[in-house]
Amino acid sequence: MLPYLLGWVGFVFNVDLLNAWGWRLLLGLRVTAEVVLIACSLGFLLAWPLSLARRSRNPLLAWPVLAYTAYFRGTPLLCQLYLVYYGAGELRPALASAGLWWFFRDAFYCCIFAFTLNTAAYQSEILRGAVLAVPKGQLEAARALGLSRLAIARHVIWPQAMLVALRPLGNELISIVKASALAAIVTLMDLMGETRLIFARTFDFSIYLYAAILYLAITQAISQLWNWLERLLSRHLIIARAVTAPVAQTRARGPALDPVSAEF
Amino acid sequence: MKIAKFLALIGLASGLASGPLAAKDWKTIRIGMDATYPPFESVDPKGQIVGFEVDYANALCAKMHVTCTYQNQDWDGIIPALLAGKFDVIFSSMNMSPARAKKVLFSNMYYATAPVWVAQASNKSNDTSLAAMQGKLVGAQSSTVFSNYLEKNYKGVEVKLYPGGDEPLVDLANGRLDYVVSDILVSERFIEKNPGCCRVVKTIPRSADVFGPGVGAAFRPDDVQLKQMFDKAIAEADADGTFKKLEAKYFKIDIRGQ
Repeated sequence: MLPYLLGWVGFVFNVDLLNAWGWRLLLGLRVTAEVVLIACSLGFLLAWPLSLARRSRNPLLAWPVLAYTAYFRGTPLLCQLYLVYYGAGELRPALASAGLWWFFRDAFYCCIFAFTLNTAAYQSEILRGAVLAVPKGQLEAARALGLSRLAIARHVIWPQAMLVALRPLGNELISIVKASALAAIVTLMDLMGETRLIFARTFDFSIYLYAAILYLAITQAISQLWNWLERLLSRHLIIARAVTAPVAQTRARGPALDPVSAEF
Repeated sequence: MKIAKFLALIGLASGLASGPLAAKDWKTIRIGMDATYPPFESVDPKGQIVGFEVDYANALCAKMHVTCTYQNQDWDGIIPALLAGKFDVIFSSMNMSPARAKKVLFSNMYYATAPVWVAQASNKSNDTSLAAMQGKLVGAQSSTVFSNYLEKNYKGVEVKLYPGGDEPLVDLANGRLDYVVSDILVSERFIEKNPGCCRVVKTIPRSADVFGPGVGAAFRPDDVQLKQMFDKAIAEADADGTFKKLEAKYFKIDIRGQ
């Protein structure tokens, strides 16, 4: 009985396979990490001005951003990636004369470009929702104190908005980790690309299991990091929570008062 | 003990199931293809899979008196899909390489064309040695004899692998790649459709260890009867001129030349 079970476990968790090909998985993991970290950071930097422009009363600012977020949130990422990768190929003469071809020639940069634009659209909407979630009274109180607009933004609105935005931003990071598997389709050898390659060589399905474990490890690590960040950023609320205990306990996971996280 | 009984039952059941299967009377045959490989197989604007191998397989099916259906399948997963029973035959320009022959059963060869190096038209060099490829970007479809050839003989050269057969040529035409290794007919057709983009540099000798003897249909290892049916139909199509007629319809050359 026991040897039979062990044999089965050995069949699913093929150690020889990992010995022979594990290093390639790790190479792929590194590429995945690079793509996700760069795209999400750049996306965050872009999202901030975008969210400001989206809330602007000037339609020349707000409408283009509205169109941009509608496009990138409303079309498949795969379609966007193909459009960047093969579209840039078609536009090569124009890109070459603009001195941009070196950038679009490389599959890695194409992926960064497409993923950044995509995640910036989502992140800008998260930030916009978070700012709108800050109670209006906060703004009125700050104005009554005679604070400058910059000071209100810096000391009143954004600290509270970031707390609201934190968890949806974490969700977005996780969804980009998973979406980054698409990069394999445009020749980038990320974790998924390496996995497909190893599977094509060995026909051993358990390599997909290892890839899944690695993806799960990344997303769980992000999840833990976010829990920690949330505790760190909401330290000042702990006492307040204790005072308003009945309400606070129903939301034991912190100030999850986010209207946008329901999307994920 | 219960588990042992259960396992015995499973063994019995699978024994029963495989018994009649061995003497299966084939009425319909499901054919798997990666339709990214014109003129052999591609998807037309109506969504139908068309090409030389579709016409040829239809002719063989007529000779075997069976109905054939076609399924489009990603190349990377085509052998696992066959083994998992998603379809019964791979009829998709599969070169009978020794590595694949360990996993599947092959029919007799029905065509063999030359693998080639393709370069951008502006590239006038005919040197495809390992030294000449240093610092160059070479593309091929992944899990093919072409990618295996590059991996074996061009270690250290950066090779880009694509899921489809036409994608490396697209990237060669738009200048993302310096060279592509592919099939001569697939490359020549692409150049015909995109005049001035690229040129065939030279053919690659079909070494037995990488390329095998040519292209054949692939079956699950225990479908010996199905293989025999195909071999017989291939021989018949050769004898009565069906193959030659289809060859002439699609190609200007003898596709068993190499």
